[in-house]
Parts: sequence; structure tokens; C-alpha cells
Amino acid sequence: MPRLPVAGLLARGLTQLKNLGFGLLFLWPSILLFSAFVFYPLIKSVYLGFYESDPLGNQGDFVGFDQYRSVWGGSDFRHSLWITFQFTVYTVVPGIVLGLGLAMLANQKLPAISIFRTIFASTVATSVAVASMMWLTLLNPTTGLVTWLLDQAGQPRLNLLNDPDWALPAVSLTTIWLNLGLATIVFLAGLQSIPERLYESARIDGASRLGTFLHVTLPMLSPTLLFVTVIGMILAFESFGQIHILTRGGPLDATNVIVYSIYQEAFQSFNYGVAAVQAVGLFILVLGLTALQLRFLERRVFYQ
Amino acid sequence: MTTTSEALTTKAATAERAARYRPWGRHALSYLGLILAATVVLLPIYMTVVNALLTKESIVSYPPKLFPFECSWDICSTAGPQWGNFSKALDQVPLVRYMWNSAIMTGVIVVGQLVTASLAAYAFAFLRFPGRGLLFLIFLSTLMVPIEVSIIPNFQTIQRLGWQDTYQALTVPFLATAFGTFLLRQHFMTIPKELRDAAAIDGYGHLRFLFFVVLPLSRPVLASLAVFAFLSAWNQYFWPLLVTNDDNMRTVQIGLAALRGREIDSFNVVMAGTLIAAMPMFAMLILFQGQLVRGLTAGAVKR
Amino acid sequence: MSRVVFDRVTKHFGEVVAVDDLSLEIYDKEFLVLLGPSGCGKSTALRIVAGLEDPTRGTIIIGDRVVNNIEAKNRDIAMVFQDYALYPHMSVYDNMAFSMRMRHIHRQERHRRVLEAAQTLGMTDLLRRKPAQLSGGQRQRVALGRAIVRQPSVFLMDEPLSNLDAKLRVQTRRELIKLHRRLQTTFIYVTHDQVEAMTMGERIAILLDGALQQVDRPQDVYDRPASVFVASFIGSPAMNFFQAELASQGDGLVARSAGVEFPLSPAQGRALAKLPTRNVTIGVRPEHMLLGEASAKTDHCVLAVVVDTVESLGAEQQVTFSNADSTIQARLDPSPALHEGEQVLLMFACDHLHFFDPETGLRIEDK
Repeated sequence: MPRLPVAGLLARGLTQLKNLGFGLLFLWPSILLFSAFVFYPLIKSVYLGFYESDPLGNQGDFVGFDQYRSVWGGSDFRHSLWITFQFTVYTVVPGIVLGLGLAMLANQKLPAISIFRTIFASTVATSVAVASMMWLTLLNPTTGLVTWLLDQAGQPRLNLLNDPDWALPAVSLTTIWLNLGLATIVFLAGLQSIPERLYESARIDGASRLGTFLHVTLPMLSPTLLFVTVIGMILAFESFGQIHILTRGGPLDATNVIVYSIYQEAFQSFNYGVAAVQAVGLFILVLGLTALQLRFLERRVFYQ
Repeated sequence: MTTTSEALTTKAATAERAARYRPWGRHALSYLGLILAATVVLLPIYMTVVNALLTKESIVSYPPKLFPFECSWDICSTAGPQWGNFSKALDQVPLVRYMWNSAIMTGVIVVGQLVTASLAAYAFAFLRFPGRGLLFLIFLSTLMVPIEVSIIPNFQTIQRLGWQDTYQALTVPFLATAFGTFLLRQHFMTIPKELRDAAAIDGYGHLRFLFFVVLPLSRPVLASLAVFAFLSAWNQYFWPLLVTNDDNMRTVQIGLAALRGREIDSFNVVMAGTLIAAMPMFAMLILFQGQLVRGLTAGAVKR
Repeated sequence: MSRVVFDRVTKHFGEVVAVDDLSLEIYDKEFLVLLGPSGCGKSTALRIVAGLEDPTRGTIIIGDRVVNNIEAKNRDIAMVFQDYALYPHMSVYDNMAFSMRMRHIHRQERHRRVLEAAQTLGMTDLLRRKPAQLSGGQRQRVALGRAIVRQPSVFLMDEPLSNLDAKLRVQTRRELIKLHRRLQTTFIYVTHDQVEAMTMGERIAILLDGALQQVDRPQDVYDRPASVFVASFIGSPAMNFFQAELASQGDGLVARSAGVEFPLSPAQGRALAKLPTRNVTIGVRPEHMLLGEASAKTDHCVLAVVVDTVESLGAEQQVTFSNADSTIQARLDPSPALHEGEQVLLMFACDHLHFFDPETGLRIEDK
């Protein structure tokens, strides 16, 4: 009887093979596309960093890790990092506060509240380009509403987008508004997942409105808060459109975040090598920061 | 049989009257807050609408005009609403062509993502093959790769293929989606195993099961994914900027941004053009708010 | 003083009337059960006492204050919800201490009260755990503990036992009765389970569609149900009802329903004679039925019936009989064991007859 076990193994092997075949049949488009447009580029970017580019953009000499060292150690990169860091703080923190505030406003049980919910979520329908053009009006040095408001507040006729001190805050403001709809939607979903019973319990227990917020709402929202913080940070690190439209990275590199710097190096100076190094640096940074956030903040997050 | 209680006191009567008025005051304050917040949120959109309807002179005045109608105050326009600005925008800028390009690009990407995500999610949810778990993790890892890292080599790939200024360049890199695969897989896994067994007994192969059973049961999720994909694709900026130079191939986002450098009448026409470009997305929001919210709150990372 | 009074309380939710002109007094230190089917308004009534809902009309009095305009937290009540509503991110200890923290009670006092409540409920070893790590019964005890530490005047409980399995429910029932005795505080307990109501309540208030049907001690509700609804709600299996017509016979009246004649005592006859029509609804509980002999006494009613189904429960058999056009349920001694299709005689004493007006469903007193 030695044939039977072999037949069994063969049958199982064939089934596995058949399943693998089916699996690949369903998966090959995605696998092909990801390989070509995600994994290959990732490796290619690292590879590009090892080569200098000539002024025409062609691949030049092999320089190994030298380019990495010089770019990452250079003051330009550090400056971009600093601008990016500021930009992230300017956009993520107010974004969370305002998004949560709007979500709480929109979470009340009032007639016609759904109209307000749609309004608060509306910026999710504005693209980066549309939002930037809209804010171009508001920030216009001659006729902008924001300019006028600041004028009333004591800052006469600023040219916000051309002022090295005000450009980054102005672009940040645009970005906050741009992302407000998304933040509101996510926070609203989080708030609505908190069971009504808990609020009733807190009411009977004597919690004030602040007490309820601190001891019931915030802890139950902690997964959402983590999500918004991580996503917000990633979005901030990848912001490009609004900077390209509003300030082109200036004035005097005041809004030259890393992504914009990469764009300039690669597609205006054709310095692919340097740009690739910056891109890889950005990748490692985002990965690292995300991992750090998840590690440290997740401990304080309460999951059900 | 009921037991009776003490007689109504005057205290009780006043309590009743007070209870009637209390909710009114509380609500008024809430609505005030809501209206205030709504005004601030809508301000940029409102100002864009106002500016689109102003005359060439009004738009450069200071303080800025707040109402596009004629009146005696400073914040009003010097003439009535200039509806003509919209047609001027369409005349001076090939907005229709831009929207058409965006529509094609978005349409292909949405359909493509639905197809690839459905197939991939099916494989991960229903097929058992060696390495499935690892492969799924690899799929998810693509979400962690930021656009900058892939954009330079991708651009070079497009150059090598000679795909500049083509629809292929705008669409092909985005036809696969890890977020969509994740979203659909989550949903597919809630389909009861008994259905699959029943279909197998009925002689349905994988493709027919997918097409005739799984997908019809997944309509809400597919709708959410479609709306989400539409939003992402329509709003893309960086990539279309790189791969299109010919004005004929520009998408509406790039075309809009390029308005700054064009010889246009003046800023009010630019604002009119902006509004036209923004219309489709706002229509999407109003029509498909539910699906959109569901797609966005699926809890995964997506850029 | 912790009595609770509903004074003509009505609650509308839009078109729906959840509570309909409820007037009810709950005495100090009483264990009162609000009983009724789902949607009868009992939970709404409880929430009105708690302050989680405002009545559309009417007054609520706790102790000697009208509390309509007083916030829930200041009404000196504690509530145990059906799904416990524990704060999932806090430990058992913090859950119990929460309300005291909100009132800025000193840490030592908080600690003392939490420990005391934990000891009473036998859960001192659970204090560090989070709700997710507890079983249903344990979570329920935490919910109770949270209420106890508040030392309220009134305990409000909304179907606290519904989410427990049957065995745990019986055990917890007894513990709640002991707790009530120990705490000497007013308990208002909402349930749809008549067994819980009968075993736990000092009085039961039965609600239907927001209106109070009857409030009495359990035995009284059983012996003298105020309406057809109450009569059918209390007691399992439910009371048997016959539609009968009054007829004269000799000196008195009899009531006739298909196939059976109910002899009426003079007192019963006098009470029924006052009815505007000759129709009456008669109720008899299944537990009051006996297997009869043809030579029955005159104050017993006898029915000829056919056995439909027999469910033997060991200590008794629950038999469904059919007779002409009606079905009759009876709880009989286990022997003689009956079989499907058998023809037997059922009898019951006329004392055990309940009379109801067929129009209103209300009880007709016969004493």
C-alpha cells in the first residue's frame, strides 16, 4: 500500500497549486501595478541617490553614499525639515482642535442639523487647487478679506504671501481650511460611536460639561484622535499643491517644505540624484515618525 | 385601580410653565454657535462667489466688496452681479476641455480601481493559497510609501514609454488601490460561508460567484469606494502637473492653477472659472454624502 | 424621606404617547416594580424620574420636592441601566468612584465607600479590572456598586437582569431583595418579566400603553386582577377566558358559554345583574382546574373536554384541552397521565371565577 499516501500528498499539492493559480489570476493586475509603480520606484529612488546627475538630467557618476551624506547633512535639507516641521504643527494641531469643535457642534440633536453637517464637511469637496485659488482671493494684498481683517487688527496692508514671516502661516491657514471637512467627518463619526448611555450615566453621576468631555468623550475618542494625528501628519508631509499655487516655495524659501524642494530639484533643476536622496529621507522620516506616534500614543489610546 | 397622589400645588404649576420655556433658550444659543461656525467655514467659498460676480473695478477696490449687488454702502459692488463672467471664463480658458480630461481620467481610475480592488479583495477573502497573509501585508505596505519617493522614477518610466501628455500616463499608475482592496476585503469577509457553499453546490465558479453574488451584496461599499476614488482622482495635482504639458491634456486642477499665468481679463473671471471647476465636486458631496462619509471613515491610511 | 410621586405625568414623543396621565405614589423605602410589555412606557416613566426625560405634562416629586426643573445629578437618585453603561476605559474602582470625584468628595471617603460597596457585593478582587475583562454578572454588580456608593434616596433600575443567563438571574434576584433590605432605600424596578415582579416587588404597578392598569401587592394582583390584560399578564400559563351570556335559572343567574354552565353564587349574581348587557367575560386560572368526576358538587363548574397536547413537567402536567370552539389550558397533577384525544371532565370551584366586563375589560367585583 505505499502508493496511497503519495497520492494524498499529490492531491493536496495539486489543490494548493490550483488555489495559487486562482489567487494569482485575481491578483496579477494589482501585483503588476504595485510592482511597477510602487516597489520598483522605491528601489529606483534609493538607487538614483547613488548617482550624480548632470545638468541635462542624465545619470552621471557613481558617488555611493557621499551624495546621501552631503544632502542629508546639508543646510538646505535641514531648512526644509524645519519648515516642514513648522508647517506640520501649524496645520495638525489647529486642525484637530477645530475639527473636533465643529464635530461637537454638529453632533447636537437639533432640527435641521444635517444642513450644518453638510456645510462643515463641505471643504472635503474642495481640491487643493480650488481651495488655493479661493484663498488667493482672501490673501490678496490689495483686496483680500484676510488682509483687510489684519489691517483692522493693527497689521497694515500686509502682502501675506510675499512676506517671509507671514507666508508659512498663510499657507498653513489655507491647508487647515482645506482639511477641515475631512477632520470634521472623521471626528463626527467617532463622536457618534460613543454610546448615549455613557453620557446619561455621566449626567446622573454629576459630571459637568467639562467633566463629561474630559472623562467620557476624550477617552472614547482616543482611537480617532490617534488616527487624525497620524493621517494629519502624513498629509502635512506630502502637501504640495497649495504651496505650488500660492508661494512656489518662497519667499526666500519660507515655505519650501521637503516635497516642494524635491519638486524643484527634480523637475526644475533636473538634479534627480539630489531629489531622490531627499525623497528617500522623507520616506524614512515619515515611516519613523508614524512608528513613533503609534508606539507612544497607542498606549494611551483606549480600544473597545 | 389607581392610587391618587397629593393635589397639584402652585409650585407644580410654575414648574410646568418653566419647563415649556427652558428648551427654547438653550436651542437659540446652539443655533447661534452653529451659524457662526458655518459662516466662518463658508467664508472662502462665499468670497469666491462674490468676486466672481463683481466688475473689473469692484474687484480691485479696498476694503473688499462683500455683496455683488448695487447699494449705497461701501461693501457693495458698483454694478449688479456680473453673470457674464462665467461665460467669459469658459471663453477665455478651455475649461470644458480641462473638465473633460479630468472626467476621463477620473472615470478610468474609478472603474479601474473598482475592478482591481474587487478581484484582489476576492482573492484575499475567499481563496486560500500559500503566502496569502504575507501578500496582503505587502499590499498594505504600499500605503506607507509616500508619493514623493515613487514620483521621480515613475516620471522617468512615463518618459521612457513616451506617455507624456496621454491619458495612459494620467490613469495607469493609479489603477490599483491597497485602500480599496482593504475596504472591500473587510466587507467580503462578512459574507457568510454558507452562501459560498450553496453557490459551489449550484455549480458557480469563482468568477460567477464574485459577479453574481458577492458584488451585488457589496453595493454600499462599492459605492463608498467609488466616491472616495472619484474624490482622490479628480483632486490630484502633483502627478498631472508633471505628466502634462500640452494645454489640451491638462486636467481641471492644473488648468485652474495655470490661470494665474494667463492673460485673462482680470481676477473676477479667474474666480468664475474656479467656481465652475469646483462645481462637480460639490455636486458629488451633496448627492453622495453618505457614501463619502462611509468611505472616509473606514479607518485606513490613504493619500 | 424618599418617596416618589408621579402626579398626572404625561410624555409625548411627537405623535406617540409614551406615558399617559400617570399618577402613582411610591412609598419611602418601598420596593416597587413597574411591570408591563415592551413599549408600555415603564422605561420612559423611570427615565422621567431620573431626569433623563422631561415630562410633557405633570409633576414628579422626590421626597418632598418637586423635581421637574432639577437636574438629574441633583435629584439624589442612582440608576442601573439594562446594559450597565460602565465607562469602558476606567477600572471597576474608578467606575464606582467617578460620581464621587465629580462631586469633589475627599479621596479617603471615596475609598471607604467603594470598599464598603465592593464588600457588600462580594467583588473586592475585581477592583483593578476593566469592564471588558468582566463577565456579564460581574459587570452588573459593578453597575450596582456604582449606584450604591452614591448613597441615593432612590434606586432606579431598568431591567437590570435581562442580559444575564437564567441561572444567574435567579441568584441575582435574591441578592437584590437582600440588598434592598440591607440598604433600606426606595427601589423602583422596571421589568417585563412577571416572575421578577411577583418575587421581588412589595407592590407591582402594571402599565399598558403608558397608562397605569393596577398597583397592588403581588398576591392582590394575582387574586384580584383589575382587568383582562392584568389577568392574562400575571400567571403562566395565562388565564383561560370564556365569553358567556347570563341567563336566569331558578332563583339566580347562571352564565352560559359554549358547552358549560357556570353556576353563580347569590353575591356573584347580584354583581353581574348590574351589567348593561347580558354578556360577561369569565376567567379561570389553569392552576385552579382539576380533573373532574361526573358527580361534581354544585359549587363547581364542570366541562367536557378533549385532550389536545400534554406537556409533562415532572411535578405537574400542563395540558391543553379543546372544547367546542375554545382551547383551555390546565395545570394538573402528574397522575393520572393524560393522552392526546382522551375525553375527560374538567372542573373548577366557582370561587376561582373572575368576571370582567366584555366592553371595557375591567374587573367586576363580586364581593
